[in-house]
Amino acid sequence: MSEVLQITSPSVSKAQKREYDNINELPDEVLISVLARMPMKEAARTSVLSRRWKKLWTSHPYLVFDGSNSLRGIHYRSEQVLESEQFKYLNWVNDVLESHHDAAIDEFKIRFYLDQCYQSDIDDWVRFAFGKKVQRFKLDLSSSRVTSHVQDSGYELCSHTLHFQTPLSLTSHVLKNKYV
Amino acid sequence: MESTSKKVTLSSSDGRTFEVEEAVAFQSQTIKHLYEAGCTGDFIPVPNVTGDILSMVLRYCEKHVDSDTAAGKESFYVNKLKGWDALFVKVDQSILFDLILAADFLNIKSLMDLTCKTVASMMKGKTTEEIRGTFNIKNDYTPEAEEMVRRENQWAFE
Repeated sequence: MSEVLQITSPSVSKAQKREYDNINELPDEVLISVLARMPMKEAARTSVLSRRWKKLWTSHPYLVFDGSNSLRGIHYRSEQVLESEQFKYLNWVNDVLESHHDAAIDEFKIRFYLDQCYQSDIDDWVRFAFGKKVQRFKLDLSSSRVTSHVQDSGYELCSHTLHFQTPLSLTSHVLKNKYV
Repeated sequence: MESTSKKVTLSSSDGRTFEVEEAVAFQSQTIKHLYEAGCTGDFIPVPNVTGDILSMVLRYCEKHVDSDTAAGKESFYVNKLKGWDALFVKVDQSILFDLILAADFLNIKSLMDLTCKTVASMMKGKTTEEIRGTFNIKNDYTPEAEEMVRRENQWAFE
């Protein structure tokens, strides 16, 4: 690279020379790009920074709902505990999806033990993800780490849930039917 | 670099001009598209980027010009480049933000990734108060409103 000549142009005013010395002066889409480079949980914590930051994280493109931590150790506990954890997980996903703002997402991952009782919620999640043109999708509802008193979920992904002809690989072994 | 390869001239918002190899400039998708569409004269204008920042961006592009080639993908070069990148973004916040804006406008994906990740890492593991302090963010919530937002996103603080 070589700087070829220096033009001193009086038409270039100070105002044209935009300078940003403060994060607060960056446009929303740039801040969203920054938040996209951290896990969703960390991004969501920025909601309390100031009013401007309240909703920025809700455009996060990587929606990863990894419930493996709460699943761990559940087999020492009762079915009521499992149910309350499932309820909590469901609320978490539904709340985040409800507040999600962007038109597209790159990734959608579900990892928790959920059985047929939750079919309609899961259907909604699948529709949500593909409605937002998800690029990477993973649904892991398996109970492999949970007790013998629960069985694999048997969630059925029905063709009417998915109208999309997106090439898709589902890694979960709990899906009974694969129409995609 | 060979002196025979084609060059383009870019002009910054403050009227400084830079002559670079096409391969260097075309890491910017914006410039590449402008050029290919024939929308450029003798100079390709980069109206949103000052000369100081543009010269940094072009230095980055020169360094990365071979990163897509087979030789550039060898781990020795990849690691060397990573080290160079880490030093490149060791700059004042104001410069870092200008670099992000330039990368965004010029559409240079790897630079956008590098600079945004750098800002993200400055937030990592910090408390709300520490992040406000680091970036000079003024808390305009009432204590009650802040508490409500925190409760709405309780899962993120657990």
